[in-house]
Amino acid sequence: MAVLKLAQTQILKLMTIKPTASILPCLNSVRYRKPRWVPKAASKEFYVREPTPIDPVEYEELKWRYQEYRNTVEAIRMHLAAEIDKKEALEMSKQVDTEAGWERMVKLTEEWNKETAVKREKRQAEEDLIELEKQQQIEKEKEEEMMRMLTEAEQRLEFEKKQTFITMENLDEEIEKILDVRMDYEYSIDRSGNVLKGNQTAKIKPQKYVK
Amino acid sequence: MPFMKGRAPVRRTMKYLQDGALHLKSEIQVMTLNYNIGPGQQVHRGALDFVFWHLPQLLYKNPHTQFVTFKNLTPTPVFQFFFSNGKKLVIDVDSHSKDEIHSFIRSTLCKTEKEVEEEETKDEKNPGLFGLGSDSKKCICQIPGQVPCSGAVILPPQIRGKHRYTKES
Repeated sequence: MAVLKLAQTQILKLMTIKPTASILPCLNSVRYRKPRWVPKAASKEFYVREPTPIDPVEYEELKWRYQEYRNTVEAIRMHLAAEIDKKEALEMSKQVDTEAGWERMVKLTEEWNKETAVKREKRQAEEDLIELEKQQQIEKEKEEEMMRMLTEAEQRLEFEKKQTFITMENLDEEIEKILDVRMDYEYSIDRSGNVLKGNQTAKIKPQKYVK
Repeated sequence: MPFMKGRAPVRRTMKYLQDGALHLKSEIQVMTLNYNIGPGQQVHRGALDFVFWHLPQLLYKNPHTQFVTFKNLTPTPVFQFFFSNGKKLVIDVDSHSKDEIHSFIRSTLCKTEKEVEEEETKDEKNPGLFGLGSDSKKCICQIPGQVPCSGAVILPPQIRGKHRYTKES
């Protein structure tokens, strides 16, 4: 009842306004649906819809007729689309060849590319030369370094060869030599780290122990 | 991008974009730009500057063309143009300045000034329009398949109120 009342007041209100194109759609869109929480109407509780009767003869007839119709229309559509595509492609290629001046473009581009290629090759040759020189310089430096290292190694080897090493022949002699060495560890070190060797320390006796 | 920020923000102003002179031919579908960046790439300088200064204008003026840039993929800078019929043009832009490249592209691969003017002045009307917006079709009834105006041909009786609201019908 409340819903009905609302509808009537709205319609009344709308009727007082002069109906224009902007208001009219509002009238059409006003629909009063059953809210979701409201149960099914009592009168419709056990209502079951009867399916629409189908004439079997007509159904069979229409079935193949519709299929036939759809096939035909689809075939025509595809055929036309293919024809249009072909035509467009042909026109486009013609356009590029003639209107756009394809030959002129190709000619100019080739000229430009040729000029650029000449310049580039010249530059690249120069760059290659510089690179080659650089490489040669590096190789030269490497060689010199190698030679220097070799000579240094040879010098070192010669120096080492001059040294007297302990062999089986002079082993006893060397042992004797070492045994003969007298070491004196009784030395003192002053504050600046100088080692004062000899028995000088023994001469200076601390005063405390003199007594 | 914020206003007046970044490198050369003038590139993003409407005036600069509109002043672009490169209207590529309508047959050109794709343009690719190969160039290298980084130190010691002096021969790529022109291509790089061209991309920096003129690519925004190209994009603005040629909305139906695709532009692709490839960085550090080829030893020499190269621009390629792909046409709608599958043909291709390659331009070697090695050690050319950006202005040289610009003038060459403008003279060879762009529309002439006359063509551009013609296109701009050409009024492309929507073929779907009828009535006030259209010159050829003053009324919907002039479009094939539509109901003719009742002033010209009388409507069929089932549409007319005269028949619909009579008691017999």
